[in-house]
Amino acid sequence: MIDDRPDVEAKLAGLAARPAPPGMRDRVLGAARAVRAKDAISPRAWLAAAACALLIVAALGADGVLGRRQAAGIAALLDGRSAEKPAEPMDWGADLPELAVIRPAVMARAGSAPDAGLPLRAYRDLLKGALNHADPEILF
Amino acid sequence: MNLEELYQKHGERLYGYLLFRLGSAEDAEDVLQEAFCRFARYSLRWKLVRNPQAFVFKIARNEANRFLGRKAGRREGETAMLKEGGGRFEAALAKPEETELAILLKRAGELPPDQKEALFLKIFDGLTFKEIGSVCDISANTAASRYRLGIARLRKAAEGTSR
Repeated sequence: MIDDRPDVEAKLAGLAARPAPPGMRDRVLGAARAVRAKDAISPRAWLAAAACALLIVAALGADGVLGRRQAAGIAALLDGRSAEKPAEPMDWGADLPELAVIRPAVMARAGSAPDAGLPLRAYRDLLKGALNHADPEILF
Repeated sequence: MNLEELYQKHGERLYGYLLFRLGSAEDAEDVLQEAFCRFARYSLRWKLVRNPQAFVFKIARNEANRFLGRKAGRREGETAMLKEGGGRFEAALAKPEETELAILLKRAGELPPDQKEALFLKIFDGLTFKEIGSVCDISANTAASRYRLGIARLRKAAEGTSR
């Protein structure tokens, strides 16, 4: 036997919903529109934001261009040379009177011109063990 | 998102759901207004919404919970919701003239709150189980089982009264 009684689901679905109070649509939409208008960014704020963005981009671009120009200027001034000064060999014996005694021997051993500077290494090689002796004449 | 279009599609049903949740026409209108203000702020978020129907009901539900929390304090609000049964069919639906229907409505009001909500969203708002799950933060299967349990209880009660 088929049960022809309407099911509880159908019965419940047949119940009518309470109507919305009059004017509710306008009140609800009016409040939502007011919120949207308040949150919206004004044209003046858009302009200010766009101007700031343009300024930042321009500053970044100008920085790159100026940097390249400055580098080119420095390169032109140096005429292709490096900005760093090359280290010159130092004649340690010329300034130190204590080493002046052995200077001729160093010159002879290194085979350098008398006015040329000598590296520290040449003095060091000659002076190896010399500090153990009181008289440097023994060496020469 | 066009607000008029949104109201046209969901406004009345959301109002009915909020009436069911809150039990008062004034409160339901206030919360509906707050929900629409929220929709108005979500201009970008709308582009990410996959199911607008589930989304609007979820927002309305969250707003209703916030409203109850504000009204009576967080803990007291939750207690009040549980005490009131978490939903009132008689507030959202017109009083039926038939005695049998009135009894059915009374029995529906005696169901556990989660079953009542599933029933309301399914029967009166036409949401799918997946949508109900999304609105209530449960799985679609849980939503379906809540609905079926509620209907089964009502059937049993209806059989008991018809005998």
